Amino acid sequence: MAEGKSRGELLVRLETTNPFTNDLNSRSKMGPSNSQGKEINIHTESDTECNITVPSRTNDFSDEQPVTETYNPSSDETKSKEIEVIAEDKENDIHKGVSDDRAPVDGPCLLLTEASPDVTPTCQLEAGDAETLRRAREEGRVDVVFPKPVTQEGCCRFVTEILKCVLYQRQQLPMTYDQLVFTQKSQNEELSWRLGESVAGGLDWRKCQRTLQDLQEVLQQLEVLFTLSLVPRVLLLLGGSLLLPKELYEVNMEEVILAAGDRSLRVSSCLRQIFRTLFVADLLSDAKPVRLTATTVMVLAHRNCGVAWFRPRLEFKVPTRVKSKVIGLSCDPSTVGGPPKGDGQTGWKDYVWFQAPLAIKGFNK
Amino acid sequence: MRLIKRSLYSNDPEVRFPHNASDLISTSRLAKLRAKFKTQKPISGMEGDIMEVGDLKHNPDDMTTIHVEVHVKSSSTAERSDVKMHVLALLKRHCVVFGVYRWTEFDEDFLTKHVQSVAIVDTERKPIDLKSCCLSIHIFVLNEDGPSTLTLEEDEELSAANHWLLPAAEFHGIWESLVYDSGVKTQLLDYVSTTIYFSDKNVDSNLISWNRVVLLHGPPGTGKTSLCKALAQKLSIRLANRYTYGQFVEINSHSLFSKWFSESGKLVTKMFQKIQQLIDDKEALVFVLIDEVESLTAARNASQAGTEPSDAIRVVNSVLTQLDQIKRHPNVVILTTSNVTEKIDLAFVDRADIKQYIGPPSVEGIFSIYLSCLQELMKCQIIYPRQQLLTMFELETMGFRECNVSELSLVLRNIATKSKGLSGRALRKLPFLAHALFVKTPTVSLERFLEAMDLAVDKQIEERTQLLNCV
Repeated sequence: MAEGKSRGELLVRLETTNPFTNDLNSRSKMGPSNSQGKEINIHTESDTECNITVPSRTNDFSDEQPVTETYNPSSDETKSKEIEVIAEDKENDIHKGVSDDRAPVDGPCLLLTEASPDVTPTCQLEAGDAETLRRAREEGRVDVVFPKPVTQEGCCRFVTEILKCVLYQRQQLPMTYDQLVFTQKSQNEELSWRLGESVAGGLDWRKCQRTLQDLQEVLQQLEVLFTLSLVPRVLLLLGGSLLLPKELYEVNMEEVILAAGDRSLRVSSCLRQIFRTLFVADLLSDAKPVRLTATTVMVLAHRNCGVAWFRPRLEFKVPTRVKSKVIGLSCDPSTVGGPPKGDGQTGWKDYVWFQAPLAIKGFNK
Repeated sequence: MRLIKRSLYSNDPEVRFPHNASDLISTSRLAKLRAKFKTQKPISGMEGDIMEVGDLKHNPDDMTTIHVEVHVKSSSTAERSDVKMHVLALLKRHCVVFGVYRWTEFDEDFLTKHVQSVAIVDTERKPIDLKSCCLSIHIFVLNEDGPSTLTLEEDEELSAANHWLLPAAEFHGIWESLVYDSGVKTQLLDYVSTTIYFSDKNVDSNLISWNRVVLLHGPPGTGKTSLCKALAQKLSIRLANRYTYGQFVEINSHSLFSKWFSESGKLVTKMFQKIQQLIDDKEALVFVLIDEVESLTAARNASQAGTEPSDAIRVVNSVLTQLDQIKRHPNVVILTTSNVTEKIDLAFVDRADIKQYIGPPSVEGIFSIYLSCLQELMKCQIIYPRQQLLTMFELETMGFRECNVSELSLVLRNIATKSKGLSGRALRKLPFLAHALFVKTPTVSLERFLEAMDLAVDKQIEERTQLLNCV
């Protein structure tokens, strides 16, 4: 019974990890949870009784008491052991293994696969996750390696989705972009019904609309740019100035291999892979809260690509005094074959930085 | 050209001095001596850049250096070396120019596409043979972003400082619009270039002291703040090959005063810490403008009389110590302005290397200001048809003789004489007032407009006397 319950919750949590369920809670989910994870380890190590605290990180559960099950180890020892490992596995999956030294056990893995077949967290993947987390923590870098080539439009989608995600995760938008657009639409319909009345909802709609308009403009122009030129790197600069931003995110696509539509991966599966890695790596949640600020988008594109909207910044150098977080997208050359598009160092020498002429101003309620 | 200079400078005994010295004195002793006296860190990669300052200093040779500023369009992605090549070709075609000159239209596609203007600047009024001169070409693009703000406290909305990337579009053209006598502008340029030159030569700042502080004082409306901005802009263009970026920080001095007792001193320290962050980037040349500096450095002895809270003393102390900290860095210049010099703390005044008085313009200055105003109005076709006006220099060479050509210019000179005593700010708005009050039609002839300006000057002077009488 207890096993079933715990497994059920596990399933729920794995689903919320998927960004495409578009849940409001992903931000809170990424919040502080290490203490809870540690608690599990302490309890599982004590032999006298097995006290499993299932951490609940979704808002739906946060108000409730943590689900705590107490077992008598003598009566049901095997069963509790199994749950123990499941709990630990969960930690590995989402918080990249507080205890790396423990070898993954086959049983729970199978259990997991049964519980959520579409997420496919294999043991191999988990070891990779631990490594991903370590790199994200220590080097501020996350690598996503696609097994097959991708399309240029795909790259554009990756960048736009990452931009939206960064804005939301770094608290520059009160809800996700898509939610905002939806809310704004319904709000507008409502407005046309009752003009003149003060708008409910608690959001400053004028600010919201301006930000959304700016963001939409940037997204559109990014699409245009991607049709004009290869874009090996994109920078998102939050706050401060161009030279000394408060935060710096980079999407690096130098190693991506492009191919036509039929030979390449589906965009949605790539996006799923990117965001899974991003959430596993916990790259976007910082202990330090950010103030509302402006986000500037810089893109590296070909000198003569003829883009008009973006402003060239020939003298711009990537700020080195800010710790940047890099999201490296690449294709696995062993499975794909063929050289990457940039041909190493020299290939990008005619590429210069372009700055989006408008910055996206953050807003909350 | 740069190669020639490099070789010239490398023969300079000063450059070689440390090597020779190390032969004479034992290395360990030298190291000790250096450790003892060295307060100033050499900039990394300085050896390669050292001669770039030569652009600013006068050439040791007889050849005069002519500065050519190339304003590249912000949409241009052309390589700077290409731009330079085309500009040199352009200058070769027009090898004799008369003083300051600006090209805005080009007979070549490349320049038309990529370059806004090419200007020969800051020269004397005489024919120049470009072939016999040492040309130093400064290529720049204007930054069109507005200022970004620096905040000291996380939850505070009010910005403590505005921060521009130079060269900024907002500051473009200020330098030319400022008219001063007796080479105030060149003097300031020379001051800053010497500062940087000394730093590069590693002059021991314990022996020869310079503080990187400029104090401009004088009556209101004489363009002190504008001059600071223009100077920063100019230098960021001039030193572009040495410093990749220019940064301009304008401190809002009121934001440094806290509502909490004894916190103000800390705010000043915080502010300077932020500036320090910018200075740490050796690629950047940082200008810090403290406008109306008397509010930060009010005389401390005033507080002994009990009229000044003791918190204010802490602010002064804080500013002074922070200034001493900051002066060690080679890539910072602090610009300050004030109206009431006698209120400034003596210790601060003492720290300022240059205390330049900026007074109201002379008749000649007023004439140039009016002239530039009228030319602008003719460009915008508010004054129509366009008519030629002579400059003061040209009038002088004609001996102020009255003839057809000089008639209008002489009228303008009379207006200028009459407006003596008005501040620069008042002068710049006078054509506007003239149009608003005395010109009833949208377009107007030059004669008619000069009459209107004459009336406007009368009105200004009348208003001023009334105001003084009231007080």
